[in-house]
Amino acid sequence: MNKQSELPRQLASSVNSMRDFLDLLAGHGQFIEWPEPVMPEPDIRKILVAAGSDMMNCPAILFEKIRGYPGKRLVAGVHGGFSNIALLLGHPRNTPIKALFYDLISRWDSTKAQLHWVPEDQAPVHECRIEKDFNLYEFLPLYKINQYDGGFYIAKANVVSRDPSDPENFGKQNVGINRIQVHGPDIFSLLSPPVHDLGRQMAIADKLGVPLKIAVMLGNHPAMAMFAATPIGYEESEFEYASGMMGTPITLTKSGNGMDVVAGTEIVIEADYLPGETVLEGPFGEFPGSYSGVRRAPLFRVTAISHRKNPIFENIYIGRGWTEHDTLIGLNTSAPIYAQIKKDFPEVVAVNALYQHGLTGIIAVKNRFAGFARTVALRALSTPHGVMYLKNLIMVDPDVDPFDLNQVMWALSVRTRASDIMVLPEMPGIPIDPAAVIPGKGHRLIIDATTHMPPDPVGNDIEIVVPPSGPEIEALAQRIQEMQRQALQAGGN
Amino acid sequence: MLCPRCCKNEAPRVELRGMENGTVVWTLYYCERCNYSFRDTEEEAVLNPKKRKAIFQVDPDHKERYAPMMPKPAD
Repeated sequence: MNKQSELPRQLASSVNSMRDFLDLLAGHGQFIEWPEPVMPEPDIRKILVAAGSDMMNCPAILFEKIRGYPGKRLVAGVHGGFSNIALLLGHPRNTPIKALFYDLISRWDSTKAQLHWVPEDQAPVHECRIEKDFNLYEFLPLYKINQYDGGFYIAKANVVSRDPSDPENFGKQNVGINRIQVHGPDIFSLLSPPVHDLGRQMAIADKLGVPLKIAVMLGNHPAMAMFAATPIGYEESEFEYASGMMGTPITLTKSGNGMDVVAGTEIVIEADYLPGETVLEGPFGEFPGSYSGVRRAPLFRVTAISHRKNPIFENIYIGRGWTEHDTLIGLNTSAPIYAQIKKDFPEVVAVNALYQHGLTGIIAVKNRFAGFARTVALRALSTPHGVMYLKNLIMVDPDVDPFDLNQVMWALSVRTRASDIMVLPEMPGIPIDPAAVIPGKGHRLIIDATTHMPPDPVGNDIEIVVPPSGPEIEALAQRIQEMQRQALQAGGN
Repeated sequence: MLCPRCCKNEAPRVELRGMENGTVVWTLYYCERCNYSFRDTEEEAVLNPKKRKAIFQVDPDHKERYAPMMPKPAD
């Protein structure tokens, strides 16, 4: 590898906090500071929706002039575009999504976690400490993420918690992304269904009658936000997983209530679970692009806040796509499905589950015989994520890039017959699918857009055009773009 | 200030007043009846009960209608 291609990796490996990452993004045109004063609603929402629609190059946006919140800082879009993910993983801006997918796959099952601990008095997050008179409304520049949200949400928090029945077990310490709604100056609700790790720990605390403490990390190392949402085993550490996937060290420290937290995090809110106390939580604009309903959710009370000097509150826009949330979780949704079905079917080439957390997926597979691709589709439905999420699946050949929708549409146009559609009714589904007749149930739709194989009739004497492709064509495309840029500059003079 | 979501609380709790050069820019409220929070500078479609969509209204007198996140045997 030459020095030029090494540079992005070196820059990425120097990232140890969100601030480091913002510097990296700024150096590549992926970070902007919003110049004018904004109202919390609806200005911030409008700006983030406009920026987020650019799935490749949505920048991180820093707001420092939020009316009514003097001196407060907010950043969103930190994982907004795939170029941000590319830079995080050590690639140039505009690296194709398919290349990022294969990079993640190459890091899969990495066991090279590098965790270091520093004492609390050396951790940036403990530069400032608040132990009384909390007011979350005043401390955080909160705003309505979507118009009809039930309140003010912290939507990109990494929440750390320990198993109340085995509190010393590092592996069982969980880091997850949970939506948090503020319900008072020192009180908030947190949504974690019992099937999720934190929900399971809350159920254990309820059953044993023991306390449960959490540490809410805001403005975190970008690898934590990206990898904490990936489903891994209950006894596996998200810190180790994130470090292993990044291939770089992550520096931890202790929170005041005994959790491990990333030392360079902007803000850590320590809180106690309040068993038996609930409030009405929601609605909240969620990733399918629809509002979740109102539920009775458990409460937590703030016990302390640590933060860096002049902290930056990191939040996200989530709603009808494309949004930062889609970029943040898309590749991590795709990669585990690929890894799981690849074990049984090495013919699988790539999995695109970027859309609405995989409600629609596209799988490229080498078709071996008639019906093979749809058999692979059924295997995908039986993966842990597929059981609930993979509602619509499109199967394509390896000559179709599943991350390039122009190519997928071509396959749908020329490689499908009426008999290539398979519908499975009465299947499980996610409760917040707005199309569900019964929340929690749904269908499976498989469209086999792979080439027809014997014993099916394979058609007449039709040959597919094979256009030139590969590095030479990519280099030519880049040269044409450069010539266009030069032509534009010349025209502007 | 009537809570626009439940319309059953005429005095939602004042959580914070956003200030700018000594002037109040907005006031943030919390309804202890239906657990809704809002700012008085939000859109008319949010703040005016007559313009809010009915699906977003909440009846705090019937909280049993809303499913619990942590189901218990009694639920």
